[in-house]
Amino acid sequence: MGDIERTTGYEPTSCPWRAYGDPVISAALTLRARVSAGVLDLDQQLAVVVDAHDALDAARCAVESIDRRAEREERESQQRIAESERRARAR
Amino acid sequence: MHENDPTKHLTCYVSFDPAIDRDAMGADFALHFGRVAERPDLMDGRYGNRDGALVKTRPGKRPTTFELRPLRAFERAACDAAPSAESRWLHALQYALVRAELSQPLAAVNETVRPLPGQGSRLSMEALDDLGERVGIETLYEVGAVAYSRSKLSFFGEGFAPLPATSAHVLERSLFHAATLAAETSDTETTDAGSTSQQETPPGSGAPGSVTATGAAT
Repeated sequence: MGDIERTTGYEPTSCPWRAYGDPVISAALTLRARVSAGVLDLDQQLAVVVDAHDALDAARCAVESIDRRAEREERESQQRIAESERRARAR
Repeated sequence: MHENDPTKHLTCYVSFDPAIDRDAMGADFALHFGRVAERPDLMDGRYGNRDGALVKTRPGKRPTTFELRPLRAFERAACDAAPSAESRWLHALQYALVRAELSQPLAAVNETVRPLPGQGSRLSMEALDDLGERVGIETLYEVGAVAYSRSKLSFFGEGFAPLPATSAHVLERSLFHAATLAAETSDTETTDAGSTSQQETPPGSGAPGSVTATGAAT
């Protein structure tokens, strides 16, 4: 729960899996799929669902950003290890 | 999170409607309508869940109800652009009102009010004024605040707390209702059977009518 709050900025108020049963969340997920397909005018959608869609997008961006940073750090770490091994062999 | 699905229509009651039995509801009253926050920094419990199952009415009375639909994004944006909280609530009510079932004693008369059908239709300012004359501007504020608040992701996270039982408006409504009941009882006792008047007209109320369709503006 703490990780979710740190990552997304939202503190879960119940089990995160239950969120998929929430009508607003399911509507927002449906909306997200349709927006990705480019077939919707967001202005015409329910305001609360658009808010949820934006919150989902923000959370997804935050998680992806953290994943990218972790991947970069992992890659840089491996490069440093490979470099030190190469120098050790050169000696 | 409140009980009602904010993507669906909501039947909204008014916290100071004399037809609602505040005593019989007990703690459910605050659950349904919320309560005035003693500490504004604490949001928990300040706003009700508007779960209709919690509402209890006085015997023989029918509460005034407002059927509200969820606001669309462009409608909420129009409300957000309004300069004050009250004007945002009234804008939200104009968009969200599907039907109002007005009943005595909160309203002057029993009638149904609805905007004209059609996509994008909403209550005109004239119709809103007319409705305000029948039920009072405080009623419009409360119902409009519900319509506006449920369009936000953090349901009822901001905007409105019901009037406390000791507010001047609630006391005035209660006293008027009590006086009307007393007058009815007195009439029943002193006149022949069947002559009791059912008409109650609070001060400043609009003209009586039966079922009306109120004009809409697009």
